[in-house]
Amino acid sequence: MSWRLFALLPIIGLLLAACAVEPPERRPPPPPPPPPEEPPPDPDEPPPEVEPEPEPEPEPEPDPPARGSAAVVALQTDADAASAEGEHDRAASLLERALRIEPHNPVLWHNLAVVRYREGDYAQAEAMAMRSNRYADGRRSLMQRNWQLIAVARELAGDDAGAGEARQRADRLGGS
Amino acid sequence: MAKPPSKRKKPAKRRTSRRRSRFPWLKLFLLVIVLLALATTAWAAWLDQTVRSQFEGKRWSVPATVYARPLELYEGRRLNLDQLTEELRALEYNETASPGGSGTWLRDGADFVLSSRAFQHWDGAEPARRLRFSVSNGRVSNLRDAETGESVAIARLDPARIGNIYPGHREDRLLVRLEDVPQPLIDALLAVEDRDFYRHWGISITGIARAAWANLRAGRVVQGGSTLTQQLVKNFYLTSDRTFVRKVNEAMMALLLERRYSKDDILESYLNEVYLAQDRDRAIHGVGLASQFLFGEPLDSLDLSQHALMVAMIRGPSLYDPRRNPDRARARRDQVLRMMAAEGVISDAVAALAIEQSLAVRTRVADAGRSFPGFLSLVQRDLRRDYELEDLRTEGLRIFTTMAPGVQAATEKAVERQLEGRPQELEAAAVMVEPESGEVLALVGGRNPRFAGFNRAVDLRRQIGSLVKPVVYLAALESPEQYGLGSLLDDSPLRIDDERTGNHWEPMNFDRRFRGSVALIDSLAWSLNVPTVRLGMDIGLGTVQGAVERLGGPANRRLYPSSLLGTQELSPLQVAQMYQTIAAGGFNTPLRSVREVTRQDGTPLNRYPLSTDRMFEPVPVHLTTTALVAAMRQGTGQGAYRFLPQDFLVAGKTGTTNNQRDSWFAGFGGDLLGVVWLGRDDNAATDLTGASGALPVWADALSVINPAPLQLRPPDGVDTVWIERDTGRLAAEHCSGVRALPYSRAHRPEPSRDCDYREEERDAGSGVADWFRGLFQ
Repeated sequence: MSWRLFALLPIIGLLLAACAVEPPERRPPPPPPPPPEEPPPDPDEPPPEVEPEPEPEPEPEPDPPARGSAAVVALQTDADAASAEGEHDRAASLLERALRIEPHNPVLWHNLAVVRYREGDYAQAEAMAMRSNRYADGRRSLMQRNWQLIAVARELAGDDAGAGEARQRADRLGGS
Repeated sequence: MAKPPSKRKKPAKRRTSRRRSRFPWLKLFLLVIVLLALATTAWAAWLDQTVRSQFEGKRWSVPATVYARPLELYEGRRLNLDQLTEELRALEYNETASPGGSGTWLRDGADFVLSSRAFQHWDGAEPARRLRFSVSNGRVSNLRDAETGESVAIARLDPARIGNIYPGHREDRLLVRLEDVPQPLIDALLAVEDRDFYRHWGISITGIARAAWANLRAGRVVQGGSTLTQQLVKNFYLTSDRTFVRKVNEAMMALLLERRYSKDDILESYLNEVYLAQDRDRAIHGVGLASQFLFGEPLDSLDLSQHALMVAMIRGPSLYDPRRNPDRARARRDQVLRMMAAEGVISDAVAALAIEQSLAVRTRVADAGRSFPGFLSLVQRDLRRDYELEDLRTEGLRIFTTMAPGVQAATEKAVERQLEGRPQELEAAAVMVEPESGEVLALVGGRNPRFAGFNRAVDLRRQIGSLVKPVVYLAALESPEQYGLGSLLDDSPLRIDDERTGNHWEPMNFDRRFRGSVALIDSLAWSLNVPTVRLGMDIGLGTVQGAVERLGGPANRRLYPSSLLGTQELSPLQVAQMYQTIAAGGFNTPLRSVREVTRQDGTPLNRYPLSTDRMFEPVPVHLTTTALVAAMRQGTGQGAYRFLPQDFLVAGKTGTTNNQRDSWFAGFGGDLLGVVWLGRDDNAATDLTGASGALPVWADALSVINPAPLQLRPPDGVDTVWIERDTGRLAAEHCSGVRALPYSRAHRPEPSRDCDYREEERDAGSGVADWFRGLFQ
C-alpha cells in the first residue's frame, strides 16, 4: 500500500499547485471575499511536507442565517485542534456536534469528509463531500475542493475511472 | 471413614466387633475427632474458596447506565420554555428562588440562571458552571457566564439518566476507590460502625461487649457488635436469615477475609457494597452512587454533615431516609456526629457546627425518574450487535444515547392528548428522528409509554398504505425526461388482470371519484390511488421496490401491483428510516440510538459515528419533497395547520390501510422527522384515517417541540418555471391557468401551444420565494 501512497504524492502535489494558482473565478455580482484555500488532505499517515490542516472557512458568505454560529466556530476550532493531533474520533464528534447546530453548513460536511479521509474511510469521505456539495449553494471553490477530495478518495479506493471523472468536475469548477 | 477393603467379610466383622467391645468409647472418640477435623478443614477450605473467588473475581455486577443526549445551550438555539422545563425535569435540576448550587435553576420572566453539574463526558470533562441566558421567541439568547459576565459560545449540560440495564436484582452502584473517599466519611464510618477496625482480626470481642453494654444502657439497639468485615461478609456471601450456623459462617469468613486481604481492600469493598437507599425499584449501593442520589454531587463535594448522614443511613436505609423521615434521619445523623466527637476524630465545636446544618438533601423532582421502556429497548437492540446482554447488565457501562428528553416528553404527551377519549383498544407508536444525523430523538412504543411490553415502534409490522406513494413518485421523478411535477397522469378507471390466477383488481381512489387527468404533484398531494398505480406500473414494480430499498426500506421479493398502494408491512422505525433519506436530500443515514459507550470510569469503548450514503440525486428528492409540502398545504395533510403556524413549512404524507386498520403519518420539518402509527393490536378496523388519527398526534408534538421549519432549498439544476395546469406544458406568468413549479433545468416540458410568451419571461425565478408564493396562492 505504501508504494501506492508514494505514487499519489505527485498527484496531491499537483492538486495543491492547482489550488494555489486557481484563476480568479467569474463570480455572480456580490463577490464574496476569497476564502482561505484548503489544501486537499494527505493520505493516512501525514507526511510532513504536505500540511494537512483542513482550514475552517470563517463563515464567509452571508447566506446562512447567523444562528449559533459562535457555537459552531468554537466547536470547529476544537475539531481542528483535535484533527491536527490525530484524534480523529474526537474531531469527528466535535464536527457532528456542530452539524447538529447547523445541519446544512457545507463547510462542516467538508471538514467531516476530511476527517474520514484521514481515518482512511474513503467511502465515507466521498459521501460526506457529496453532502457538502449538496449544501454548497454555488460556492465554487468549496465544491472544487470537495471534488478534489472525492477524486483522491476514489483513487485510493481503487476507482480510477471515478477518480478521473471527479477530477474533471473539479477542473471545470476551477476553470470556468 | 471408609473401611479398609476386605475380602473376607465375616472375620473382619468379627474382629471389629471384638475391638468395639473392648474400646468402644476410644474408637468413637477418635472417629469423631478425625471426622470433625476433616469436616472443619473442608468447611474452612470451602469458605476460603468462596471468599476468594467472590473477592478476587467480579465483586459486583453493575448495570449499564443509560443517558439521554446532553442539552447544549448556545445563542440562537431553538428552545422554548416547555422544552427547557422538560429537559431540566429529566435532569432533576431543582428550581430555586435564589441562585443555588449545582443542579439548580431559577427563572425571572424570560431570564434564567442555571447552575450546571460537572460531568465526565466521553470526550472530556465539562465543569460545573453558573450560566445566565434568556429564552424568548423560541430561542436562547444572551448566554453568559453568570460569574464573570463573559459570553459563552456553547455550554454542554450533564446528560439526564434515563434508565439502567439491570440484571435480576436491580442493584445499582457507582464504584469508588478508597483514595477517592474523603477521610471524614471514613472517620464517621469507623467511629459508628467499627472503632477497632484497624486492630481486630475480623471479629471483635471488645466490640461485641461494648455494643452489648451500650444497648443495655440505652435499653434498645443503638450499636451493633459486628465488625465492618462481618457486615461485608454478610452482604457479600450470605443470606439474611438469622441462624446460628450463619453466624458461625460469618465469623469464620470474616477471619479468612482478614487473613487474605488488607484492611484497605476490605474497607474499599465495604464502601462500595453497603446498601444505602432505595430509588423506586433501584437499590442504591455504595457511597459513590448514594452521594449522587442523595445530594446530586460527587463524594468529594460533600461536607461533614452530609458524610455523617450517609453513615447514619447504613443502620436503616428506609428508617433513616432523609426524604421520608427527615426528623429521624437528622437525629441519627446528629448522633453520628456526637459519636465522632466522643471518639475524638472531630472536635466538639466542629460537631456542633455540623449539627447546625440542615439535611441538604436534594429534593426529588416531581415526576422525575420516569421510565422509557420503548427507547431503552431500542438502545438494547442496537447495542446487541456489539455487546453481550450479560455485559450490559454487569459491566457498569455508560451508554450515551441520542434521546432528547424534551422531544420525548412532547411526543408522549401528544399521544396521550390525541388518544384521549378514543377506544381503549386503540394503540399507538411514534418515532422522532433528526433527519440529517439519523439520531432517534424520541420513541413511544405504545399508548401507555411507561408500559414495558410490546414495542410497536420497533417490532410492529403493518401495511403502510399511502406512505409508500412518495417512493413511487420519487422513482418516477428520477426519469425527468418522462416525468415532472406538472406531468399529467391518467385518472380514469383501471383494471389490472393477473394472468396467472385469473383474478383482476380495480383500484379505486379514496373518494371513489375519477378526475380524468391530474397533475403529478396533485396526485401525490391528494393521495390518489388510481394514477399512482398507473404510474408505478409504468415505471415498473421492480424499480419502485428498488427505490424502497435504496431509501433504507426492507427487501421484498414478492411484488404485486397492490404494493404500489402500500401492502408491504413495515415498522414505524423502518418507515422513519425511509423518510430520513428523503428528508436529508437523498442521503441515507442509518438511524442511531447510541452515540458513545464508555466504561464506568469514562474510558471510551465505542463511538457510533454519523455515516451517510448518497442514494438519490438531489433533484428528484427535491421535487418529491415539494410535492409532500403541497400535500400538507393543499392535500391530505392540511389538518396539521390546526396545530402549526400557517407559514410553517413542513412536508408529509398520510397513510390509511384497508378498512382503516392502520392510521399512519410520516412528515418532517427542517430538523425533525416524525412517524406516527395508530391502530389495534388485533388488527381490527378503527374509524380513523391517517389524517384524522396519526396526523394530529404528529402535528401536536411538533407544535410543542418547535422544530426548525423545512427549508426548500433547490439544488443545482432546478428552476422554478410556469406550467399550464391543464396541459402540463411550459408557459409564462401572464398566461392563464398557470402555476409555478420547480423543474429540472435540463428537462423542461414542451412549450405551450396556446399561450405566446417570450423566452425570458418563462422562468419564475430560481429562488425559494417564488415557489413559496405559488404555494400560498
